[in-house]
Amino acid sequence: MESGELNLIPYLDMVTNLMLFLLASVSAGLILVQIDTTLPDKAPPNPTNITQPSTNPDDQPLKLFVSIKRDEMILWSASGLEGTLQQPKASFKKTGADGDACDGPYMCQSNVCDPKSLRCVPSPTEEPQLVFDYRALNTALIEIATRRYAGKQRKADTYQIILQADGSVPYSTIVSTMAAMRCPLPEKFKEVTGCALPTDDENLRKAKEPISPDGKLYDTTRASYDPKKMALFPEIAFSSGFE
Amino acid sequence: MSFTQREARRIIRKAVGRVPEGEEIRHLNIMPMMDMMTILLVAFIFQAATSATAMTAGTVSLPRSLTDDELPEGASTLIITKNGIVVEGQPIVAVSNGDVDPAEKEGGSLGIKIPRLTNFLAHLHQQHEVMIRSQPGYDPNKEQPPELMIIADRTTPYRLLLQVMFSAKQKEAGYKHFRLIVQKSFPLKPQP
Repeated sequence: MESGELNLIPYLDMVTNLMLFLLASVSAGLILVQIDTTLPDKAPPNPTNITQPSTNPDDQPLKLFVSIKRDEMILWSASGLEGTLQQPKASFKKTGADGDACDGPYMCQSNVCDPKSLRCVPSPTEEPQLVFDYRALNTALIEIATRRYAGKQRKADTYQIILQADGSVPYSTIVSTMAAMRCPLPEKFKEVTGCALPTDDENLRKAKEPISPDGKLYDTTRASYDPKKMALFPEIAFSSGFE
Repeated sequence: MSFTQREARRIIRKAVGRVPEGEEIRHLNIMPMMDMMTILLVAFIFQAATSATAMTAGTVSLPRSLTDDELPEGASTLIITKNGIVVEGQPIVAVSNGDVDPAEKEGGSLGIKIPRLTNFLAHLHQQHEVMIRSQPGYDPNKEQPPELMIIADRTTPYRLLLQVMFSAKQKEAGYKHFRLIVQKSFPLKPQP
């Protein structure tokens, strides 16, 4: 009787094809990153709360708010130190219509930025979403952080900011706004480099240098605040409104 | 140093003569390669089935963002698609037109708590705690609060996002810290 051998060639063909396909799909250039956030137990009870006169304004929380409505986004503070709900610090209009200038899809309502013309173009598949001038929001927050904290030791409780939005505002608008609230955005057409985040990590507190070797964390009690390299308002809490 | 043709043949014959006679190689032993490829294949299929990549390619269109923070390790994953909410691969509730069915919410259409989601997350949290406590070198003082990675379609309304976070934050579920997963946006460069 002839000894039979299993013909493995079709199996090998299939496995090799599958391997190539899966490898290609894994390394398709999709890089995921994260933005951390919390849901506060309660919103600040009194939005018209005035600052405590005995404390240096730069040492107390600003209680900054970014409120997103269907037609505009406003930056204000419950402490009254950086504008109020009635008289916001800054307001930002909708942008990203087809034909507007862009440096990435996040700046376009269609989520498509033409790489040749660097203009927003209509998308055949994506629904148009709400887009605001995130760079202008970022600039306003950099100005606040620079004016109040640059070159000083910035207190840990000054990093909080509250994001409130209309219920229909899409997730893409929320995350783009959060990115503008957390770190200084890179200049147009430049790579994202991120920023150093404040930490109360005990190991860093005991270390000789107040900034971690990889430059991603810094000890708020010792490091001198540099708004170009350090986080702006990274402790983002979501709010649905006031109580 | 040069050889004549005859010398070269003699050297080759001598070298061949030194090689011990063995079995003739009739076929390549591909078993180790097959083992390795099968393991890799299973690993890739598993990863593709559970990772955010598959969801992105299929039902979730992630928003892009100018942020650079790496993904956390060990956090539970919650995915909000256009059609439903999925936790660790398990579909929990259906989503229609950017909202959960009012029957699934405590308080009906105006409610923000989704009890089924809260209960599932509470169960997940318990499992996670049991696993953490059974690990060698467990230190209760260094225990980190559980985190939830939220992967949502770019069209997901803020209202639904809040409902999900509110349900996860309930005392029984105990998730207080959330990480919103986005796709890294690479800036376009002006072309000359």
